Amino acid sequence: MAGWTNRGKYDCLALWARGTSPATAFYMALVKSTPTADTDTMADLTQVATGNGYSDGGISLTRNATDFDVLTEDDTNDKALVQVKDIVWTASGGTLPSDGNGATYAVITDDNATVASRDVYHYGSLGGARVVSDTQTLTIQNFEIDLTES
Amino acid sequence: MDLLKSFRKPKWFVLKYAKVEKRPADRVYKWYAFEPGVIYPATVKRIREVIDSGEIPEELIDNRAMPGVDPRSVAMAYASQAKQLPNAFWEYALQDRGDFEDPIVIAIRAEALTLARRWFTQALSVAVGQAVGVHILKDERYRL
Repeated sequence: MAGWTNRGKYDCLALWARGTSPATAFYMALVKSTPTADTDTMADLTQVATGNGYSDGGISLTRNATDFDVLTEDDTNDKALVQVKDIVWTASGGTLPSDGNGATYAVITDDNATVASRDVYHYGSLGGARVVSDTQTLTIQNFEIDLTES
Repeated sequence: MDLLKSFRKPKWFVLKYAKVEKRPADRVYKWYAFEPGVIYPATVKRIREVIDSGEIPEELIDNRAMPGVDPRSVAMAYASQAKQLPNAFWEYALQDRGDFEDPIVIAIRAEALTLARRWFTQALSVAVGQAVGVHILKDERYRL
């Protein structure tokens, strides 16, 4: 499953309609609990264990055409998508996540200095609990965020 | 020699099916328009070719991959996903959406069409080598 959280929809519309200040950057984090549309912040989720190549809060994404490298306007399916560049974690010093409990979802958050307070905007399933062994990479390929009116 | 090789067109060249779309307000992304009735059959044909031959689809190999990451990894992942879909999925993908009512068949057809879209999008991104915009034009036959 993938989708926007309601917090993400709200922040997106507030930015568009009210000109609120956007986050300077986003983060992609790995979690081992299941996000839903009602998820608000990272405090609602359980992030994977830090260490062995995974830092608290995940990997930052700059709001530009390098990190969001594909935009799609789909008139056949009445939606638009933005694609995130490939995000790569490399296990170093042992398995990633370090406690062996696999990542099940990737989430996009804002950049609040306190990780637990970061708004969760969007989430996507990794298709199972993902663990990689030392020196191997865990790559999130072409993660897509879509806006569909239904 | 390597430089020349890097400019060689892949066997399946996505830009053959694309039309440059001018968007003067967007100076960052390079936009291309696709007719679903052209790009989906071409992509599905190519995917089936890859499934049959077992090759790594060179049009998806991104030499801009991060250091330490195999530039073929995305291509191999897409080929692997394609191989996991039963043959019928690809048959359904090219049939008119209006022909289907069974929600299970609609869902598996959507899975195949989504992978096809991601396939030609990745091929475009690799071929253009910069941020791209993909405009999929209206065609109800290819609705998910």
